[in-house]
Amino acid sequence: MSSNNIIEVKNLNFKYENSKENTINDVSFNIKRGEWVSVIGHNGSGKSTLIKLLDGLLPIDSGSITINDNLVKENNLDQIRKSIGLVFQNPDNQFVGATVEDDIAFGLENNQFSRNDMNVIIDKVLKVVDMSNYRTHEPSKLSGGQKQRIALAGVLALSPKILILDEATSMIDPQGRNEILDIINNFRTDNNMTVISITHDVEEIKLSSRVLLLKSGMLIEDTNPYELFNSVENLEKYSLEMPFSAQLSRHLINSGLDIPNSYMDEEELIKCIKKLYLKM
Amino acid sequence: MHKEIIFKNVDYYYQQNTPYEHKALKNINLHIPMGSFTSIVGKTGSGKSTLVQMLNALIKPTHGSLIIDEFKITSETTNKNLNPLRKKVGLIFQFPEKQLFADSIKEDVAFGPRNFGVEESKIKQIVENSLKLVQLPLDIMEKSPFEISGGQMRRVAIAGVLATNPEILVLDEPTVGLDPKGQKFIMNLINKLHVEKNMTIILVSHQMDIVAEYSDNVIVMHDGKMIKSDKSNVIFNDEKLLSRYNLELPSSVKFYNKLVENNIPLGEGVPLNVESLSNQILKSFSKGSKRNG
Repeated sequence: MSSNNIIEVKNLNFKYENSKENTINDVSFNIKRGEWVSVIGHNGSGKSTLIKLLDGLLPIDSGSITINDNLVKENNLDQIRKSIGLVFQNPDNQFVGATVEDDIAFGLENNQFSRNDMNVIIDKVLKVVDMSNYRTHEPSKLSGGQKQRIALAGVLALSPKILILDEATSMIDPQGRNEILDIINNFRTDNNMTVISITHDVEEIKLSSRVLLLKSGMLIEDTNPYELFNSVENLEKYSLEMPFSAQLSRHLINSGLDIPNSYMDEEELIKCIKKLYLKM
Repeated sequence: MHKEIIFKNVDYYYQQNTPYEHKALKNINLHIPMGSFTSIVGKTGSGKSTLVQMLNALIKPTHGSLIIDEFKITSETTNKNLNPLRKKVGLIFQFPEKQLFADSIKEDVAFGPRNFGVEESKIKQIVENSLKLVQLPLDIMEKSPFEISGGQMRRVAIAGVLATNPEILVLDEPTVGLDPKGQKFIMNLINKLHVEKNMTIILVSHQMDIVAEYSDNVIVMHDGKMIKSDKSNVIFNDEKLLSRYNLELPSSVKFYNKLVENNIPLGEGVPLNVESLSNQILKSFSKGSKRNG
């Protein structure tokens, strides 16, 4: 029987050979199936190392990782990697095919899908990312946002249980970013996929139900967006921008308006302003 | 001396007279005031980057002309004698850190002024001043530009352009790929150059919050054409124009519109940053309380 947790990390430690200190320092956490978790922290806090350990790209020094009920170790890395899809910041580094369909087919061929099945899957994922008209286009000639959609389609084609986004939306314009995040969120809900996103982006963090804060390789907070945005200190400490509604609340509170000091999203803040206005 | 940069009937064709000919700019007529902070917005492929590359004659008009001070640039203009123009107009490309090349940060920053014939005795001072402007510690001068972080590399690249002391600074997406703290630092630096040194700033950006917060003027480009050039409050008041060309509204304007939809009366004129929005809300509250008294 499969457990409720898709990922279980216990007392994980890792040190790079030339480094004096541990890059990952006694980290433990669980992630439930279908959760969307943001991982944040400064450059060098260990975020990318953690991802490489989850995918078995780096060997664990001590502690353990379980992915989809499989212990991460040398002899079952194939199994582990089938469960995980990775999307990076710069899709250019991820393309192998001469056309969009070849590129998506590449991952499927590696997993021994039949030609027929491949066609069905390619149709389906291109539809998911709204790029059906680009099937025979050359990936390098697409715009940044379109490239990121194709990279995502290639990963979704393999139906990963876990999707890891490594600053995957930081290079696209805001509109393109919101569209891609919507696509991912819909796919996640339909397929009970788990999403882990490494990000600085407030919009991306808002989508998650949980936020893990890393500092010097240690997991120092396991919180949620509301709690995170509530503390200006937190935001400044982790080099995040405050959401617009929180910036506005702060200005209004400083000017003496009777607004609660806790984080509100835009809708809540509008309601609150309206209530105050009608009371006058 | 002209008080404006003037584009007059400017066309630009890539690979002219080949099967691949592409009209990147179509009949551009434009005045950019000297001393202004002007932003250029538009979708990818709208011609923004082509337009700004013309400002220091990296590319020249296929038809029409461009006037910057005593310089007139047409298709006939030769690369001879362009050095004074290139000294006047500093151009910072997208991901400028990719163009760092020297063995040390000091040498990289010194390259521009040396190239423009600045005396060797003055170079050291110029390099130090430029690094101070971008707030990098002087003890990194001897390091290789490839040993420092991405955000620091971008600052070195900007210092290299500032070292040539340009009057007009052109920046193509200078904050892309930086974390929010790095973005804020770069924008504050650019604004400081504008306010304190009266530098003309021409900024290409898709981040509307940044454009709204800092610019006096905004130019909207679409499909190689200049759609509109006006004061930024006029542009951001024109929701139809922005949605027609798929441009986002700044967060402050979006929020302002939602409040108005909720029957909270706010003053005329859209707020271009969070402070102005907050002030408008407070004003409407104080008016309301007088009314109900």
